[in-house]
Amino acid sequence: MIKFENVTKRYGRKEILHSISLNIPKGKIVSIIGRSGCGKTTMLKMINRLVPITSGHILVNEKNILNMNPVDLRRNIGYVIQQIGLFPHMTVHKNLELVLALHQYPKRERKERIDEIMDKMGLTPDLLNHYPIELSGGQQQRIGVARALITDPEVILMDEPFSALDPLTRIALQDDLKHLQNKLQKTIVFVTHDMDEAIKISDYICLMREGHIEEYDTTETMLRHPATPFVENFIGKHRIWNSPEFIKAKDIMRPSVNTCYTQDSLERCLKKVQNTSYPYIIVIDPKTKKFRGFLDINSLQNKKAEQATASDIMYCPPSILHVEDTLTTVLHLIKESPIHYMVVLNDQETVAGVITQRNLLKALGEQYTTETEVM
Amino acid sequence: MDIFSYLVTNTNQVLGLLLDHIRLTVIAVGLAILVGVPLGILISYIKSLSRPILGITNLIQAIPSMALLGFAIPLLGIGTVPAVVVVFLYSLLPIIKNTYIGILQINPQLIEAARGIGMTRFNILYKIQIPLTLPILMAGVRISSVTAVGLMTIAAFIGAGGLGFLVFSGISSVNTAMILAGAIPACILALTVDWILSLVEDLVTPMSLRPGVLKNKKKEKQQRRIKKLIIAGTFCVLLGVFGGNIYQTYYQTSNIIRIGSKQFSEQLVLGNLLKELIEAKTDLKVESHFGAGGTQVLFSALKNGDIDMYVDYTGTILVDILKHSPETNEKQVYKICSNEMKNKHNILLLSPLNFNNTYALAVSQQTAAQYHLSTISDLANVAPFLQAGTTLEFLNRQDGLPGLEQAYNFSFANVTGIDGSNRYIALENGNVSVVDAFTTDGLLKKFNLHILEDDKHFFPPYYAVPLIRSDILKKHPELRGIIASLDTKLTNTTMQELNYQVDELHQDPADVAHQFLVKEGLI
Repeated sequence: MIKFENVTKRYGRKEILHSISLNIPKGKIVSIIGRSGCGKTTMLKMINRLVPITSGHILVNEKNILNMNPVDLRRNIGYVIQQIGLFPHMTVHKNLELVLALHQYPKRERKERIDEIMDKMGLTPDLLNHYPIELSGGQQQRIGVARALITDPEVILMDEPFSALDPLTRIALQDDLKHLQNKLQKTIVFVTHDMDEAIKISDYICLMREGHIEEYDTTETMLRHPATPFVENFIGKHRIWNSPEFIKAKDIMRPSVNTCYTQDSLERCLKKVQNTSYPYIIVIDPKTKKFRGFLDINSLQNKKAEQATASDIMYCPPSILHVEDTLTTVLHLIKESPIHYMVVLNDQETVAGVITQRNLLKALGEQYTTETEVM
Repeated sequence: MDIFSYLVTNTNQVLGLLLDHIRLTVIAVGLAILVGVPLGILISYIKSLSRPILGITNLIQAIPSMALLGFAIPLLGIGTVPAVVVVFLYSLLPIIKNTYIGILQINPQLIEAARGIGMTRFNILYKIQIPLTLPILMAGVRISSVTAVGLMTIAAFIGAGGLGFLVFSGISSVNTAMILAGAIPACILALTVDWILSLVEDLVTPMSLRPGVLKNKKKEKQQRRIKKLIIAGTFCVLLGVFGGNIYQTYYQTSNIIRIGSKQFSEQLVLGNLLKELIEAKTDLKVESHFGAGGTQVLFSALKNGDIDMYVDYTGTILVDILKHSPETNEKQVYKICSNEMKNKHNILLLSPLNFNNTYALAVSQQTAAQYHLSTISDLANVAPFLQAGTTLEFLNRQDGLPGLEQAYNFSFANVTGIDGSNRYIALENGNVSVVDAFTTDGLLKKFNLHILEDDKHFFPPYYAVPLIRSDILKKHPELRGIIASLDTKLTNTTMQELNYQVDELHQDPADVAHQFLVKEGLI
């Protein structure tokens, strides 16, 4: 949707951006993040030509922006900045109507459109007659977003829109943005210096360092496999723990080794269990290797004299995990589960590993213990 | 006569001058807004221009207003045009500067936001920058306007009219009531302008940018309605008055004779005499430029066609205008003046009036007694012990003090230039002992002064003679006869009496002229 091709920006002799190339896919939120002075805001402002490009090209919808009238270009791109973006001498209504007027919306349809967008942003219509200064920071910023969305542009640029807000309001607005994005599927370029914010809202993160791209990847990949020590350092080693949705069952589970087949005799099974340090054994289908159930050491010992196979007395747990299940799901299910361990399956329904309360505890504790070591 | 009775008897004059004053101020400030605001906007866009433009306007502001008026006279002559130009120049700085500052103080992020949502430069200017600049811009207009009201008072000095006329005439005739009749309305006008513009300033300030008002929007809206009404009312009144004014002048311009006069009482009386006589005997309308300035100002105005006629004195024409050395033969003087003025300047001398307002030196009765003074020769002996106070003109003219000192071979201990009747006050207070005077001066009678006889006949004859542009006389030949009807009626004694009525009895020169004409059966 938006493509940077070897884009360079120089102010006088100082080069701010060094030949940046980047492809921002349609319908995704991409955060550009980095320390102050890394060129992130410059990159954003180049997209709507607020900042001229020194060399290289930027394409929006396959069209070179240099071949477009800057005013037309900007009118087709939503733009949200910190609170100051609302015009202080106009009421909320005027602020919103101004954009519609720029787009030559027929006068009759404006009111309807304004009411619609206010509703979408969760704002009451009585705010329309107020001046920006009368609103809370959160309300102002919601109006700012509403103004960008009111003409339904495909692309929206957001320049640290939430950074001046208090933490609670900021989180509420981030949630709203995510929620809206699920419905609207806009292409959003979001500049921020807050890693938590970037991780929370974006599909892709572009981490900038002194005018070049240090890493551009999906949020998950960046969190799980930071490309360079700089990225790792920037994200923070244990940042992933702040985002439990990125911690998967496969990260916590212990690969399982002790399995038996459904037709194995109990005696054989017991022997296998006794050879391991675990009080259970997993029963799988000998042909498909699919998971069938559990046998625990107590029931094996009680019934070892009987002439039975594993499938006769095995226990089938009510809930089973999948490798991609998140930490939140794991915690939730293990709390409900009558036994202390849960089996994790992969896509073929074969056993990938086991999560016990112990290794769950160990995994969760890791973020604190290693942190103390570092300190 | 106190100020109230003055105002009552001269209501029309004061109102007329007040309207003149407002009209000129409105024009000057209006022009300054028309020029200043775009310039302010321009220099906020092109930063390299801000230094020279603000520098020049600052420089203009630094020139004393009197000096700037002085520069304007050779270029623009006298009357309303140079006055409006000078006030316009003074009004520029606050307007340009406030526009410039107003635009610069707008948060640049706001402008960027405006560009970011796709507003054009023009959109930004008139929807964002101008509305946000207006409060500061209006503050500049307010400063300019109040200053302009004050400056316009000084502009009366070059014949622009307005309330300053009363102040200057009052000073020259020691008429306190007249001074106040000009000064007090000027003050009230300045305060009113300030107040009305403060209302405008309030109105153009967006509600959201006025601290505290958002708590009570209803009240604010009501107040705004009242303010709008007041401003609209003022505007309508001005429009009505000036509309009527323009309508009137439009129908009159073809038949207008513009008469000028110098600032002292005699000239004001003469000006009014001519005006009333002409208006009574012809269909012509007279536009008065009374008290417009000294000889040079009036002569150049006459030459440039800013005025059509005024009364000057033969001696003055000979020495000051034609640059001849002083001459005592009256007939000779008139002949030279008449010929040369016609040939060189296309200006005609009508027949002289029958009084000789020549220079004289005067002392108080006490000084005369103390030093036994009766002639200037007597004075020459004691001059080194005396302080003199003379008009600036007398101080610098060849037929004034420099020639006199040469002819009688003396010099004063000290000479101070004091214009107008203030020198009589200086004499009364003992600051000076000798003053120059005109032989027809009514104040000689008022202050009971002793005139020293010019025993060596140094002072040339100063017979009053109306000067008129030859094209005007050609167009209205009847003027010659009408004015000639005055000549035998005005003698030295009558003139002194008329001057006395104005200076001592504080009567309006127009009234004095009117009564004289009625008494003499001329109208």
